[in-house]
Amino acid sequence: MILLLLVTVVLAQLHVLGAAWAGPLVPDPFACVLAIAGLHGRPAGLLLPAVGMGWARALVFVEPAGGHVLATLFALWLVSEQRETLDKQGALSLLLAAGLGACAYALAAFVLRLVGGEPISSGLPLFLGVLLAPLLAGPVRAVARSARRRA
Amino acid sequence: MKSKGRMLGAIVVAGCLASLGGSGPVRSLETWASALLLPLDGTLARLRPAVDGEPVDVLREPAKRAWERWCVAVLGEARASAPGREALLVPVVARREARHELDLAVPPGAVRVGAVVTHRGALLGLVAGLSEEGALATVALLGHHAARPLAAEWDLGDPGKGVQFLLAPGGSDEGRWSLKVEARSSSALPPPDQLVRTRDVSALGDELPAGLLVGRMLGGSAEAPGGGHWYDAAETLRVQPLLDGAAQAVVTVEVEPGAELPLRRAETRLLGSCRPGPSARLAAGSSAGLASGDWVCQAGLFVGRVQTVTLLSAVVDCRPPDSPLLIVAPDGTAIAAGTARASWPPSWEPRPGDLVATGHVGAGGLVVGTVDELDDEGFTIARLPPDPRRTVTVVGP
Repeated sequence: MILLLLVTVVLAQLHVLGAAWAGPLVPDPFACVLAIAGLHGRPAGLLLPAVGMGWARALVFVEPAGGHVLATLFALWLVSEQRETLDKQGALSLLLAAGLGACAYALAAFVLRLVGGEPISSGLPLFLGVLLAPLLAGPVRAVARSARRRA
Repeated sequence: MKSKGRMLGAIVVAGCLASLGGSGPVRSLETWASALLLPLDGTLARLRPAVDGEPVDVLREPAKRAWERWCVAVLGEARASAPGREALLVPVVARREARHELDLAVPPGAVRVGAVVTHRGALLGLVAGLSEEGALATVALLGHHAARPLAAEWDLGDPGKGVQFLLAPGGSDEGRWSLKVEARSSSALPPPDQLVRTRDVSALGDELPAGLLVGRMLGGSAEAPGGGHWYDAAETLRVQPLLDGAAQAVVTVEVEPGAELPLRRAETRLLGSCRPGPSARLAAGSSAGLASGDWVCQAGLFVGRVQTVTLLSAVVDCRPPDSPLLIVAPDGTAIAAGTARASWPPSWEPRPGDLVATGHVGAGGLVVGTVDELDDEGFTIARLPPDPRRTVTVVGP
């Protein structure tokens, strides 16, 4: 949870810096983090990662954490439920998982915004961030392999 | 084990719903984690592109002048204090609309119960209570049951030849507070929408300043429901306060001569690695003396108002204030109006590019932005962004 929280904080801060220079359409890598956490986590153990990731995103976006945590939990659960269908190792599977995560996150954010009336950022940058997934497939595979070897 | 997991899940979901619902303690708890942003924040804030400070430099002086003129207008032309006392501009720090009360930050020990509270020469209410240290005054707005009766009159023409009466609290009818007319010196009915002013009763030991506007006379119809006639038509008279006290941000209060409002000031910075938007984070909290409701400004630019405070950080609501909002035309004329068309004076309309300014008793006139687009609803404000690389000043009573 703490690792995901820190990774999400740093990536979101870098995304904000990129958006300050290049405009609001700079890809948001959060969908990729969702995909990686969802594909490598069990559906039963997603609560704490969702709290960490949602809270971290809310900190950087200066929005209420509740909506981000619930939207993250829904997206992680949906990706995790599909991890048997998606091959965990391939770039395409990471791309599909990131796309699924982004869609689920945006849907949950939309519903929660209607219910709570509070902003939960989930715009175009989140979907553009899905395109970063193939670039991350190699490093993720290497980290997963080294973790398995160590285990 | 499974039940523990379920309990944790239930707690997290309940916390999330409370956060979405705007629960203050939960929002405060969320803000505690802001320290996690700090390790990278300084570096990332320095790497951000510079903010062009020229628009603020150009607009700062007009905003300052508009605010100073507005302060003079709020003090009003009529004397708003009893002899030997003076009127001081103070900020409204809390509103309780259901109770029809305001809380004002006042100089400790300089305000007494019964002190007059006005805005632009109109009486808003009277101080009904003071906090233990005397730094917070509770105002019972006109119509409130705790407000004492007021001596008032409506003019027949010549000054001093008016119909005199007492105004007693009249309570609320569908959210509209009014005053009852009692002990009239004449049963003559006033012309429609007659203005009512306070009158001098110093001979009776009441130091209520004379000539303050109270409100408009309503009712007084000679015809009763069903086609009959009232025995005394003046019995139906009511006085509707002229200004909505709950909508004011700055008012005058009667104080001891020379009393000044003590202000807290703190210098801090915005977290530059947070996304700019309707909210921002500050790198200081209650340990630096910040409190909820404080104003955040940067070299004459309005940044926002502190919303949530923790020990080491705070969240700022960057939306423009509802009041006071001054629209300043290029020729320097300023109009106090909101962004909604309904709040505009008749036959007035802002022009795109007009300066939108505001102000605070402690911070002076501040630039909010410029008028952006006009539509059927009103206008939008093109905000000028703060520079996260420069310090901000937090001011509060």
